[in-house]
Amino acid sequence: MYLDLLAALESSWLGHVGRHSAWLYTAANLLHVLGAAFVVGGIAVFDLKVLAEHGKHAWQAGRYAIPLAATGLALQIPTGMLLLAVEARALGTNPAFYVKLAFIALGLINVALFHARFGSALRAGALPPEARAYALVSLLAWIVTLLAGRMIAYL
Amino acid sequence: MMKYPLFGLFFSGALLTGGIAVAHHGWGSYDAGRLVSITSNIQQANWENPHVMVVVAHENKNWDAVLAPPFRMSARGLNPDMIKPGTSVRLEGYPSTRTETEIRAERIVVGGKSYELR
Repeated sequence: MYLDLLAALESSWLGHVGRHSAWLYTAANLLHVLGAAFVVGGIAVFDLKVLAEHGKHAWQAGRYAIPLAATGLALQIPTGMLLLAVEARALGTNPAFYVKLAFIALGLINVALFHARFGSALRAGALPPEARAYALVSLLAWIVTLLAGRMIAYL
Repeated sequence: MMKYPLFGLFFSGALLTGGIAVAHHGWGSYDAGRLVSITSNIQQANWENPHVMVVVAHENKNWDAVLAPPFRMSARGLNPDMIKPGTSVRLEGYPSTRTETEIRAERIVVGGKSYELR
């Protein structure tokens, strides 16, 4: 099922265009690095603010850092799909890619739970101390995601 | 370090990930200690991302040679017409440690001119 999906992605129009356009593939590569910097950078600034001041004033950083991270994620999804489509069957079964997917899932679940639990407290400037656990998980999840992504080329 | 718990956290993170950085010695697994030289006509060429690939004959076998990404190939002055099937080329590269008949080409000599690929 998963392998069929990878094969379909690889033989799709996206895969074909990715393999044959030197410019598009190179642009996707460049933007995927930029998007990673936005995601990890934006998230790290916010997480550090949550950790450092026990959640006080976290929204001061969050109102800039969260849109930056979201912009990064918006870059990562289309560029990542293109980069994957080029060699989906090989990349999709790379051990580092599995690690990357697992930590993306952890990061997304973590951010969804954080905002569900503390969204209004965050905007009111009164994050409770237990919010710090989410900041730690977030830092770990997105840093490992970035490192695992880069490791794909070496495994 | 107790005074700066965040510094401590990142410092230990850096130590931990430093181990991964050490393993960062090149893509795939190629034996950089053994340079293989192949002179052959091109049997087949795929000018595609992520790397241009050609098939060449060497010691009665077909070998896959991984060249550079198309963008770099063009930047170094190569184009698809220069490596069409039937063209005589010389390739120098490192053999794969996983696939017996594969090399990662460091340079290609075509039309009397040598092009560096790394």
